[in-house]
Amino acid sequence: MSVRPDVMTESVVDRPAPKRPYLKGRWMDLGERVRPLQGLLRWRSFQFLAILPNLFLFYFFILAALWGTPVGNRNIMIVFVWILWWFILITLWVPLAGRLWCTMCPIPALGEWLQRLRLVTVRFASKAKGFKNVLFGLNRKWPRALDNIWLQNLLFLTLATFSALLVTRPIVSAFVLGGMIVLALGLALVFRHRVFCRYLCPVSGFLGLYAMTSSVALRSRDWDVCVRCPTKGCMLGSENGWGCPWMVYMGKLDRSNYCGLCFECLKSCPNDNIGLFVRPFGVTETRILHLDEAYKAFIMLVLAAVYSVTLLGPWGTFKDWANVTETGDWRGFLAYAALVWGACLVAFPAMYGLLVKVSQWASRWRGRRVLVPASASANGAGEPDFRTLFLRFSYPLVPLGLLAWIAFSLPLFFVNGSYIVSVLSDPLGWGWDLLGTAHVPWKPLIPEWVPVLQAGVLLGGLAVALRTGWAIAWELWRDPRRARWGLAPMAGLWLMVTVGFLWLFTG
Amino acid sequence: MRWKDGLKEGVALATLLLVFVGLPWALRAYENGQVRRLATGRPVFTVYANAAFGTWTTTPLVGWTYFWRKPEPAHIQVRAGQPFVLRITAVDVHHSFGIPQLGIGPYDVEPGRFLKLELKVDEPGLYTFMCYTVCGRHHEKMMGTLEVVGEGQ
Repeated sequence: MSVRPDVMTESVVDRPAPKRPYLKGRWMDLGERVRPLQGLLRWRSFQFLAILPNLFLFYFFILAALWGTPVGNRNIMIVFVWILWWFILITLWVPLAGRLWCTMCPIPALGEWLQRLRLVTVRFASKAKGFKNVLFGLNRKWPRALDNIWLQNLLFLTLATFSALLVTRPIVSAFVLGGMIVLALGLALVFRHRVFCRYLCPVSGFLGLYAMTSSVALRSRDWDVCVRCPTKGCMLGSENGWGCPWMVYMGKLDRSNYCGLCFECLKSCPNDNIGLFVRPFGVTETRILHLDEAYKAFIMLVLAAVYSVTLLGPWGTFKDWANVTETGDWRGFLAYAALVWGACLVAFPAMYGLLVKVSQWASRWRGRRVLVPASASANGAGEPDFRTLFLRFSYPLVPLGLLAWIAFSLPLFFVNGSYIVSVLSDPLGWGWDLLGTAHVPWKPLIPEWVPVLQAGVLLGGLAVALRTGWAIAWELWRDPRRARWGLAPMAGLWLMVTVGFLWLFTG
Repeated sequence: MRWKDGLKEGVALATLLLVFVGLPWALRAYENGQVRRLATGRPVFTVYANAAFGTWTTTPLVGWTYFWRKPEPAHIQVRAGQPFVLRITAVDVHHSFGIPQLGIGPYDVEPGRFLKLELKVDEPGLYTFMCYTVCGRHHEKMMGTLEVVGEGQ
């Protein structure tokens, strides 16, 4: 394979071309370029120190939710978690740094520390159930039948159904966060590694999905080195680092979905063969491989629309249905829940499947009218089946969905951002004035520009989706005419989705 | 475990314990200090306005008690001529506080903010405080009592 020399460092170019088939575009090895960064990531205390401030903050938020005012916009739990943290996570962290939040997430930390019986250092044993690290607990293996993200999908949908409560009631947020911590802790004592993060955490589910398209990825520098490596330290652990808590083997890793960026592999790799790479946003080389991942993309996109309607829209009835504890309208709430679940799990996937079928017919029909170029047959581009098309064409929903979420989050931050300033001075709603800003009145920031920003973000998402879709169609059919015809129905849907969001946001 | 690793683990564990024990203690200590500073020897009463039950109450209504604790209507007792402080907050919607017999208020009570009133009542008696803003279905029940007792009572 070819490696673009302009983005590789001298030392890499001098060596024989390493085997890394995922490095097709412009990738830069940050670790090679910025050596202190590599040193920082390999420092054993790094993750503990990254988690510690967030643990402090989340603990503070939970205490604030328990002891502070139940009024959402005066309690730091709601204002910092659902306005500030969410905004930073979705607009900066995920697109630029993928799963970097998982590096510093405090939710599974207690469980992981208990499982390891260490906070910073490593427990090494020459042999411990096939691994090189000793773990406390039952060390069970996660059931194979659940080795997917369906549970994450269902948990996220469940939380989303109660989102009106979750994002307005501090105590509900505290129970959810606290529940996640307890669940992660319990699972860490039964199963080995971070099964909570990998299979259950609702946040991890969408971080994994959107990390596929983000600008940062941890990869092996050369797969051949991994294949020849006798110790497989990244997977099994070593005296310098724990075996991958996410159960990922770096020698095969070519997608970012399930790499939690804990950087243990950087420490445990005996060959210095793991690098943190920077790549352009919206990469086209990755793909969705399983139906559970495709459904994650559908769920996320539909929920962005549902939230836009319930939290930003003018439809009072729909809001009342969602906000059941205020209205007591349980029949309305059940209708709302049925609508949300039906749209996410049945209606949208069915519509998508139908369009994929149309796309298949269209490309076949066009294929009958043209000669398949010799290059296409030479490349082995056969007729893709429905399942392949369905999965491959679900990937463009990842950048489209991510940018729809960013567009949805913009007004939340710009309209409610002034609460952050006042809550900083009075985080529990106890009447404090720590910084003299407790009485700063609520004032939306640049409200007239928010729809413009949202429109720009949505159109950017459409552009990335179309570019990705074209790359997929080209790879599938290897013929420009068939690719165009095959892509057209899907592109039409992405356009409709974008127009729908534009209508929701700009009216 | 090597002594260097042991030291690292010890420092990390101590830091964690400090966070888990120190943070709640610091929050409580700061709040108590704030109330003491406000009081300066006077009694301080915190009153919560709750539209859902239609009551002013001194039962603490915070995040974890708001949904299940049934608030009792406030009954505040002070001595005639004794200065005291009322800290009034709302836990759901806007209210306004006033004691018509004493010509106090109405004052806006915003959700999640505290209204501080420094008062002194010389005349013994039973005074009713009420809400002046229609705050919900139980607005007309929004009442509490201030009992001012005279010398020797």
